Amino acid sequence: MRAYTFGIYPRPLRLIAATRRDPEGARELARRESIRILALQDRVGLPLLSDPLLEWDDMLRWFAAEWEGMEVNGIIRYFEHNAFYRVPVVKDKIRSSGDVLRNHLVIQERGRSIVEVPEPVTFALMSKDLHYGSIEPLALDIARALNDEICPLENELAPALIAVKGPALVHGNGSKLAEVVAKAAEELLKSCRAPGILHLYFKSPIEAYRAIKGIRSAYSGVGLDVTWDPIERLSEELKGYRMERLSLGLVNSQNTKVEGIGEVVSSAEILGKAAGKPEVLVTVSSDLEFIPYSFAVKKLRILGRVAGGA
Amino acid sequence: MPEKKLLPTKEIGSLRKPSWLLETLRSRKATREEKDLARDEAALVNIKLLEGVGLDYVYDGEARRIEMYEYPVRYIDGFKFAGLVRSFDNRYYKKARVVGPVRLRENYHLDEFRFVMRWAAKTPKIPVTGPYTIADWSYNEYYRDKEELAVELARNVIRPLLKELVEAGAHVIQVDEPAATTHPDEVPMFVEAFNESVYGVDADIHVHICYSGDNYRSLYPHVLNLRASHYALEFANRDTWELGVDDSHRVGYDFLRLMREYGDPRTLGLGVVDVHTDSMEPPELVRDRILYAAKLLGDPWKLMVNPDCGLRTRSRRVALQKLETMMRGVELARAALRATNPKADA
Repeated sequence: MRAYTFGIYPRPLRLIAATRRDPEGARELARRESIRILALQDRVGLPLLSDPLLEWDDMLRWFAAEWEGMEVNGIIRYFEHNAFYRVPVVKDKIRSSGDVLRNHLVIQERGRSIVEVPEPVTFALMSKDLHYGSIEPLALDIARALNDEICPLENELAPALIAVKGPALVHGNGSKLAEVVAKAAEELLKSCRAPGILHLYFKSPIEAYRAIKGIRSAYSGVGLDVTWDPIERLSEELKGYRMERLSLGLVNSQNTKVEGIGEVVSSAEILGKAAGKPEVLVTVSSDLEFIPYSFAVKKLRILGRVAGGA
Repeated sequence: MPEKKLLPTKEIGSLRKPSWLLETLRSRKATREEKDLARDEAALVNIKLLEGVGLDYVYDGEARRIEMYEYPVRYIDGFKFAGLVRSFDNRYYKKARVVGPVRLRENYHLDEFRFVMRWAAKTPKIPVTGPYTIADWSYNEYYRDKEELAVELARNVIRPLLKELVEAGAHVIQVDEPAATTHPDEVPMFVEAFNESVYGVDADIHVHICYSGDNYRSLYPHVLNLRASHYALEFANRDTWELGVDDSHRVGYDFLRLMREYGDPRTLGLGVVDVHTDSMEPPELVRDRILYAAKLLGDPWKLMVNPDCGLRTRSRRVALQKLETMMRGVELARAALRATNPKADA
């Protein structure tokens, strides 16, 4: 079973301290720590490697800070967490130079890497729009800008997967905006060879999944945070699953309690069977940054063992 | 208790610790007595600073507390610290796991409260972190679910702590529940845990909530059952900086409409200065926020005035300026209310 993590990792203590002293000076340490975590992912047996995003203060930050037409503003609650992000303010038409991911990702392993980006509608909903006037044109321009970011990496990295992070879709927006999500996916994944997985997390993904599964889109699979619903209920929902891949967020990255391997594997098997014949991948429920670093490492080891590692 | 007064004023909780206090606390040479003395002095300075500004309700700026989660958790059995978790940017807080039954080991506010009682000339209002927030900010590895954890915290930790504070002379207690609207579906759980924590506590109970993701809308109708007499909420953070007392200039005050719509009899502490920016609100902006709120509620006597939240995020100088500008705005608002409404003349 292929397994991977996605999202931001917690910063190791020395990186927190170094960033506190000198944010710019700590960037080199962030890169070294990122390389260390990538090596750990490899060592525990993860077949797919994901950048721990240690340089990212939140999932939108570097895009908001470096794209034309956007700027970073005050803090706003990050969904239903005791955590906050800086809201991107859209002041003009959005344009990307295509350098943000290249400059702020450390990952380099050709063929095994995951590239991750925010889902465009999620990005739009998390922003304050002073220019476009409605979600759809904003989300589509964000999708185009993200596509400009992904395309250079397609050639350089040949990523194994593109993880598209859509937490806003499970907060009552998925069903309302499913068609815009599908249109944005077309723009986002245009000319991409790597399959795109749409990750739905932070709350029960069922409602958003129901809305999205009925619409043809460029995604090759969905990633479901399965920590919110009973397995029986999810099994029912997954009957008739038509996509090529199904990613299951079975390792809870919001709680320190460490899962048993047997329980993760058996849940993956039950859900995979209910879905029919997609390729089943196992992952974390969301970013690991919601637990301290030492616990994130424990979760990583669980995932490695699920993937057949030592 | 202060006499009935139009627009009474208060702070919400924390002030940044003075540099000399931090130096003493970090010093390896300082003895325990020297550290205790430094804490006493900082508390005293804060009490007199808040009284000097003219606030009607004061405390000690939480001079002895590390922060609102880690400090109580240190004194509660059943918790084990797990490590640091990000709040935003590179700001982190220590988060704990619940690994056993929760019990109050030691009343962590009693000594500080007695000190405030001894030195405060104004009415002390003691802030206490509430059970739902402690539950929401912890990793629950022991209880069946968050609700069970929150209720156990209310019964076994917060309630006994509050009762001892009342026995020691506390009349006004502010239960801080910043997490109350973090998960809108869990507002009934917050209310249940809150009510358990204040059950049988003979005091004037305030609740402080801030940085709601939904403009506090999810609180209604559930808060109608809340055993609290007063809401102290953050509003300035979500408002514009334009002057004016109409809907086009004032943003984010839906809660006041709901208060009126539901006939909620409680009073409201209006957050009039933003604690996350050094930019200084002009007193006229504070005035307009108050006048707008009074208009929405239909009764200025239901209003108290406070900053959005604790001022520890600002330097002490900026915090003081924020409180002073708040007081000037309050004076302007009182004058305007008296001019337009003779009943507002106490």
